Amino acid sequence: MEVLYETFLSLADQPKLLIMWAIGGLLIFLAIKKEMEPSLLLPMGFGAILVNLPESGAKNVIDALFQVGIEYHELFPLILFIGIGAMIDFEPLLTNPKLMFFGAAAQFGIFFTLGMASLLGFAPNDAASIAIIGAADGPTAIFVAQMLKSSYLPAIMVAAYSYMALVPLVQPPIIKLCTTKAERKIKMAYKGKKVSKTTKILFPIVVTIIVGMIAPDSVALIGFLMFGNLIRECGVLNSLSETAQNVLANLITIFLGITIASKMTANEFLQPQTLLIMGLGLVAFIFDTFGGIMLAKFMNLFTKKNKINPMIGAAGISAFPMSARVVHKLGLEEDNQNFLLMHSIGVNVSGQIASVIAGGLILAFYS
Amino acid sequence: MFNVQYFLDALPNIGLGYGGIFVVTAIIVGVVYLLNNVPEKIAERRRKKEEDEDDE
Repeated sequence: MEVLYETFLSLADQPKLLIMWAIGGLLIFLAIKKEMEPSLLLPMGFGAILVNLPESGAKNVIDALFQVGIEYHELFPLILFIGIGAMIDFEPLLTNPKLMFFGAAAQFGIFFTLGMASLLGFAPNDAASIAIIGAADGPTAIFVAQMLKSSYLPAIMVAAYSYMALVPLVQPPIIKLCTTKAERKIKMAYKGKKVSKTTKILFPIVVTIIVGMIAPDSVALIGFLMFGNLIRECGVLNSLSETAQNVLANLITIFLGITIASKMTANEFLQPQTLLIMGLGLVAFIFDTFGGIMLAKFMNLFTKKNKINPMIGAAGISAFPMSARVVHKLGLEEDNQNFLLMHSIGVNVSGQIASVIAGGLILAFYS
Repeated sequence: MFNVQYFLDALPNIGLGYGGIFVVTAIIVGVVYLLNNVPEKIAERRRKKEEDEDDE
């Protein structure tokens, strides 16, 4: 009875705990009812409740998971990247490599937000960690924020994963604002050129070497991503590829979600800056979309025939495959014979690579 | 709240970072073009050489 009395007294002394319970509940609601990134928001939401119970016995366990999986060597996001790499098919990109430039352009939001966060007074390492929300890639955001020892890791994680889930809501208005109806109706023919197996095998190896030589801090990220892809493409490791895509990815996702909650204690999460970070995260996504579209419009100035539908630029945001589907759906809305999916998928997967390059460059400048 | 010095310090990194992504991307695109086209050209040249030898 005495323990119960003391627990309730602790709750009375720390009303912020109740706010964190509500936030945890909200994340669980968004995961289940709205199906927003349930694989991450649900463990994060439940973990937030676990660590904010008075004298929580789960805190030590979750802290231990955090130390092993994130703090020491960023293991969880890197291992998850193996699974993500095994899921990605780079063939639409390899048939038309120029699409990679849209992936690069769509990282504009990262650098715009870096400027904004710096202007708003965030210390350089925190500004860079907040900016990387614009990578629209959970493992990259966790990896960079942890390597830069940002104080705002939980807010950054919640922002990154929430906005990734909100891509179908965030992107369409921005795309419509930045393009005309005529531009949205532009049809792009898809020439399904065959890519050799040798190219598909060499691609992950070559990309790792190129990116690793230019941005050595990104070798872990790009290396694990491309390792997963190599397992997929080599053709002799089908069972490992299946395991990486399914069991491994799901297992690490479970651990990652609940481990992030280690930093979602009331004192760490309920800061005035959390709302600001959520706002900056939205800015990052908006300007990512803007950047990709603007490059496509710029390229159209120099092409007379075979114009590019600017919407595919918006798919360069690394939220795979949601962003590609959003662009394809918008294309069909304008013209039900306009199939942009293969182009937007190509751009979307290039955004995955570009976001890792951006993460590596950010680490090179700020670590 | 505002820190103009932080913003000014970040500007070179913003320029180098965003530009750097394009540079790396250009290198990767170039290599992919080579991967896609060089083996095809080599195979084509071999075929031509064999046809010429058959003609002789």
